[in-house]
Amino acid sequence: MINTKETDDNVIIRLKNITKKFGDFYAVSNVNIEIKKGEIVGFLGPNGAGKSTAMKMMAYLLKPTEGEIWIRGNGELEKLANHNKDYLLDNIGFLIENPFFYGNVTPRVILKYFAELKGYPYKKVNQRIEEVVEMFGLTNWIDMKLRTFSKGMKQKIGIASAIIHNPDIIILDEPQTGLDPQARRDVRDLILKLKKSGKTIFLSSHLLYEISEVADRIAIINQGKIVAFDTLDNLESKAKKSIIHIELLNHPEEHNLESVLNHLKEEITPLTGVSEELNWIKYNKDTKTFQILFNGDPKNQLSILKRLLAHDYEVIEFSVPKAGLLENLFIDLVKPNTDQLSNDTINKKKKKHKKKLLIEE
Amino acid sequence: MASDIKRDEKLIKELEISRQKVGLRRDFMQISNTITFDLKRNINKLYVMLFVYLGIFLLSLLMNELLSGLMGLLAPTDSATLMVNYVGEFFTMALIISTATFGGSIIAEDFYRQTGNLLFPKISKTRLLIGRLISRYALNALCIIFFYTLVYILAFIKYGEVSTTIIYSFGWALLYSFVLLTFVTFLSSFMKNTSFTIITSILMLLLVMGMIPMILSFSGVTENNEIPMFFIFSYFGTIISGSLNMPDNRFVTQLLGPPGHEFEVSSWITPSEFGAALGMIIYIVIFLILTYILYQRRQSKGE
Repeated sequence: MINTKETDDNVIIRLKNITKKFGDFYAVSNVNIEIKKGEIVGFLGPNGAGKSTAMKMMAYLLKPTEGEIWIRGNGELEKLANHNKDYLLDNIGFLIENPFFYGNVTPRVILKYFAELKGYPYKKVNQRIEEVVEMFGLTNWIDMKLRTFSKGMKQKIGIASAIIHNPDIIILDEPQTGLDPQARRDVRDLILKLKKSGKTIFLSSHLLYEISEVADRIAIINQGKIVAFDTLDNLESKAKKSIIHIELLNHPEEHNLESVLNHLKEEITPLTGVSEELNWIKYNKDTKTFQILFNGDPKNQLSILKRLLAHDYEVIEFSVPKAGLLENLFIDLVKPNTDQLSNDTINKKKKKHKKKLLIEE
Repeated sequence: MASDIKRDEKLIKELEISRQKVGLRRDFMQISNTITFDLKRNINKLYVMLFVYLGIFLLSLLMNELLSGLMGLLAPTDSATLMVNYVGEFFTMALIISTATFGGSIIAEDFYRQTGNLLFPKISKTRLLIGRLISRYALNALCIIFFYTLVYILAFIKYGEVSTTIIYSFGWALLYSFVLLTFVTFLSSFMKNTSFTIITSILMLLLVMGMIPMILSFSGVTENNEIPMFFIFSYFGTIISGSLNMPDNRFVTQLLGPPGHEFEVSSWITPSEFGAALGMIIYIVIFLILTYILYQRRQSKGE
């Protein structure tokens, strides 16, 4: 997973054996991640898995107990330390958790402040603010008080504040949480737009669909440890499992659902490539779709489709949604152990052992 | 679509910028940016506080000029004595209210409203604190300047000259307001929210610290003139009016109570200049160190 060469030109951030302990509790344990230039890396994990802690270490808000963080500054990877933190972190834009703003200021005022804090050239700040605000479609709101903004608009300003100083790397912690579908879509489009403009994005989210739609690679963290880090396709092939969603022209009635399911099981399960005891076919009444677990192999997928058509099933939709796969994979990988701590217990442990913050000066 | 790509390309090209230097220059720049931003953000509070100071001045004017005349009290013989009546308890109260208002949100707000999530990755807490302390202090100082200007004008109108001791009094007011600000900042560093910090600050400074000297006076602890009240930092505020007309004897004993049942009450009127300066500096250092430690250890929600 880790390239030992510190001079790898493509790597823009490297977390090397990062560990963070609070007392005897490991919030993050021996994490190794490399993020390459121009890619979007999704960071998934259940609550309390260590996502925010890892991100805060990258923002230098928490100091790793062990390990190193390397960031590409002016062409070279450099180890993040007290003496170079301003310079290296200028190249990163952070959005840590939900953005909350002072209500009595405008986007223009707060973005100017943030840009100047990060050393953006003074003479270009105003122009930059207008460009970024335009990119986010909020030009008409630039001089309105932030207290009048909706949650989605505040989220956009939050992301704008992360990129206002034009960093190459953008780290977004749960940027779509709590947003309505339209706002989520807007944020997703923005993330893709940022990628298009050459930015590298490290994105954490609980919303698996959002991650699957934008991420080039996905890191899954559980109990502080990285349990998977690869492209979605590779994860799929490793998991050897996927789900087919099928919608029929005529949805089954309540009284014949059982017989349709039995028939499908009889015809389809031999083609799924999944061992008999793991096989399942179910019907989702909300989406009115049949869901079939299979091994993810396109050949099996084709065989299943052929068999359905051969039996005159009027298939109007036959798809393998990536989010569904990711959800499955995620649940498989972060399956709670019997001794796994609950979130409350984790938080209590964290509180018990006061976090050591950086003493910066 | 094509225009979008063109615009994005233009943007990428324009964003090829060279960053400003880091190090000490960045420290000063961030502090200066914080001061500017914080002043803009709190400008409305300044307007409100100027009205409060104007109200306090008018109230003092009413009591000193109108009620004193009605009660047949003697008018002050010089400008210094006149000014003592204006920068006394009412002014100290205004100072406490304005300091609590400006300083209450200095740290607590970012944790309660979670605005720190955006700020802390961009600026260190130390620089943020320094910038904010300067800006809040500047706002408070503007209120003090406004009040002293009113007092100066009044004294000049009444006596045609103003005692130079007003400068000392003004200087002590500025120093004392900084002690108050560091105390409020200290409270803000561990209190849950801004409102709670403001209310606690005002209650502690006005009631608790006001009552302790009274209790000590009545209990007779200070009877033998042994313990100046250096342990109560609000005591140092008395030098603001004391320095206008420094009394020869800073310790007084008065007889209180109904005729035939009088009892002696001893109290300190004001600290000496040296004692006040030293005491206030010690309190400033203590509060700042405690604030720094608590602020560095404090974490945002969810961390």
